[in-house]
Amino acid sequence: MASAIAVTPFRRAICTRSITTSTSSLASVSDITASIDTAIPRFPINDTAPVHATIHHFPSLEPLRFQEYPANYLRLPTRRDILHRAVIFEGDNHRRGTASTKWRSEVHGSARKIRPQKGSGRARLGDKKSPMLRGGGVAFGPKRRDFSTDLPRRVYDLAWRTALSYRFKKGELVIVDNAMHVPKGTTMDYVPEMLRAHGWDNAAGRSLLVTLGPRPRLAGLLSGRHGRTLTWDEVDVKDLLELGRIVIERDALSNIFAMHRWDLHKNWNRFQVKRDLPIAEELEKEDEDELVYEMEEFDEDVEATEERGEDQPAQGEQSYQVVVQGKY
Amino acid sequence: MRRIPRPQRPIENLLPYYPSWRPRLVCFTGFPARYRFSPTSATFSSSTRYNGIFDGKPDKKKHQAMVRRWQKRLLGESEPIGAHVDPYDPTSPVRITPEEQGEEQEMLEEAEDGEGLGEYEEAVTWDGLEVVGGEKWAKEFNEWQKGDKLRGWEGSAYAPQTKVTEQSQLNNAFLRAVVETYMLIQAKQEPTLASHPERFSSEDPTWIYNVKLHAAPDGQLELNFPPEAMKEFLEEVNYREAKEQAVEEGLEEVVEEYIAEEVHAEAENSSHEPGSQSIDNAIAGSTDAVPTKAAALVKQNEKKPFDFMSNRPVPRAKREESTMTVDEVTETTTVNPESPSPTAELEALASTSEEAVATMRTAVRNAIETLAAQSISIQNPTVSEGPELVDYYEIQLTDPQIKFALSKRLLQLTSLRITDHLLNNSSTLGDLYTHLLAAAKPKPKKLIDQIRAEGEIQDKVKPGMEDLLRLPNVKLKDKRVTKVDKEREVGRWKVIEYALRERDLPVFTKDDVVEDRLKMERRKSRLWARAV
Repeated sequence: MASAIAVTPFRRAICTRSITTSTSSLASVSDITASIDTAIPRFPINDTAPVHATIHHFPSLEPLRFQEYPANYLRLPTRRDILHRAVIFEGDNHRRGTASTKWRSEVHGSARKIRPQKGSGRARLGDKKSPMLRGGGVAFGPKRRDFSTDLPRRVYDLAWRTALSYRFKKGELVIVDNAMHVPKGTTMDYVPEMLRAHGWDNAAGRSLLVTLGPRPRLAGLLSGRHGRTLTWDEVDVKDLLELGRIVIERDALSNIFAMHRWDLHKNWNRFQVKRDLPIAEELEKEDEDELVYEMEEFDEDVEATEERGEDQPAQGEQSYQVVVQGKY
Repeated sequence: MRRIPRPQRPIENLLPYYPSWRPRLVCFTGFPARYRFSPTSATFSSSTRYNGIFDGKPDKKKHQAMVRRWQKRLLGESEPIGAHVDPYDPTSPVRITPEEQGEEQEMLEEAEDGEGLGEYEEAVTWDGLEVVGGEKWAKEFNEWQKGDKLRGWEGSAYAPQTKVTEQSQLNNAFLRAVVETYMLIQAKQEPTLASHPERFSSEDPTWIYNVKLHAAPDGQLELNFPPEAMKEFLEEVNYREAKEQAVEEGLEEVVEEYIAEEVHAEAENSSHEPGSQSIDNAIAGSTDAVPTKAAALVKQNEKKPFDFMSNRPVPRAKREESTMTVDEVTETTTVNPESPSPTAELEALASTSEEAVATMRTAVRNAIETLAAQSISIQNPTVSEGPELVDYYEIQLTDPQIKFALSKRLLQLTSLRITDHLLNNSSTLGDLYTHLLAAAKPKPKKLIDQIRAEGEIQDKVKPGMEDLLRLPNVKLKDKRVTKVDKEREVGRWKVIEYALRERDLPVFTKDDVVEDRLKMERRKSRLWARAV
């Protein structure tokens, strides 16, 4: 497709675009059937140019730098039909399918004919398990079954990246450089206050915080009222579209891109997925120190008591023998 | 010692006396004998049956006689002191305290604690003393302290709390951001220096309005400014960065690092940018103004620098000490690998910090002046010519770094965020300005406002939205429709209300329902109050 566009200051641009019969494969749906009279001059935007996303610092949300992402990661057109297919697919796969009823053959009871065929003056009835009767079985009621459906992997991965592109386009994708780690010794309202300050709380539509690994303190202080926190492998397309915005760690986003690009690269490389080792180590270290501290105390007591005997008081403690006489 | 008065009557009264009923006292074997509780004086009853019951006057006398008889038997012939004595007579023997009489006194446990320990002896070794200090104790202490001062969120955000919405303020903020960023670009510094976290200030400096903007034919922006402005600006920007560095690292380390960097800068000049190099040289040169102390510092502390520009309050040392250290420093002419402690030298500097800072400042200013002069001469030979900029749309924004710096500074000044998508699609300063104004406009909170905006306002008409507003079978309401509204439409509400009032029943209108809801929400929000 050919399009000659004048590269001049764009305020009063005169687009000299040749008429085409087909759009670019990456362009969003545009009304090429409009006549010249109603055509609105559009600024030509290069849809294949890479996208610059701001990387922020957590928790101050200071913009640190731009990071480039390819156009087919964060500049995809909003294909609502693909998003719909992906959401339905996920919903189907999440169904438990445990609804179960007893049909007339499964209801407990005998097959004896309740009353004779003719002569009673009433309707003819067979056994008491008939669905017509109270206490009988359900007529074609639900049975346990698998509701999962299939979706081509390429479509599903495209839906993943389309969801992220949609959020990016609306300005609802916040990428954070460091781990969303809440340190020890904060007030109970640290996380709700932070969300309120950034405009991420309930009043602003709630937020989804996507992390590289488990963040127990963040999860503990974040109430469901203001949002959710999930690891990158727990997130769904539906989750990405559900809440007011997505706040995602940069490495988590890279992992998601690495796992969901089957339509671009057939053989995605497992080893490019980043693990949460540094943060997990740090968090574990903190907890480890606590544990060691407690264990040391305990060990000391055990050794000391073993030496002196359990009945004797510890060193430095006075022993009081209470003598109680009488008939109490 | 507390004197416990002895009752003259038996304490146990009214009940018949059975020895098995008397509660035995608990004896603490751990205490010395003299602290053992002695039984109270009147734990016996002297009457056999009617203990303490007085039938009449003759019995009272008889009773008293009986009491006296038993007292004689048990305690001896003598009468107890004070039997027939007026206690209110100042000379009466009742007023003699039992201690003076030499009798044992009962004492409470409270008084005994201090006496049992004996005299105070200062400990020579640490055996048996309470241990304070060490890693474990420090940890406990820190945790205890933290428990009192939990870290809150306040003040941790980069963007200011209040958003700027007024048009004139936005104009000023945009102009300031543009001027600062392009001045830094012209000075070949990092354009994001202007948006350093410490640099936020509410008032615009006056020199910004004296800067003139010109559009070059290739779509780039050129600035025309007096050299003092550039000087002042760069000084402020670098001062802030240096101050932050000093605060972060701590004064002692900063001294050594800075000196080391100086030394390195002097050694490896070729790789540096001209701007930073000249500043480094200027500062290095300025140390000669305070020759004795600074020169000695340069020679001796080769690890970390000292930031003379920092405004951090340095504790003033005593005059005597500082002069002492200064003398030591001046005497040593050779380079000493084992330098005197940095703290002593810092104190030396602190005592004359004002002079040093003043000299540093003048030196830096001179350096910046030369630098600014250089940059002006190179960058803008024909600045005074050409028309002044009228339209922001004439300036192209192609470099993403400039876009980033502008958006970051705008965020810092106005607390308004321009989304990445809009930044990517903006190619001129005018686009950026438009996006800023759009971000300042409050977004409609209700769906009805959004629909009306999209359906009625000319610029933003979405195809189909106009029809939605005009559909005959669709009604759009501003507020939530309740049963009351439905009844009102039909005309039944006034009848219902009348009937309720007739029966003294509560009449709930929609406002009451709304108020209840707000109350519930407020109650919920109180649950999330600060935990102390």
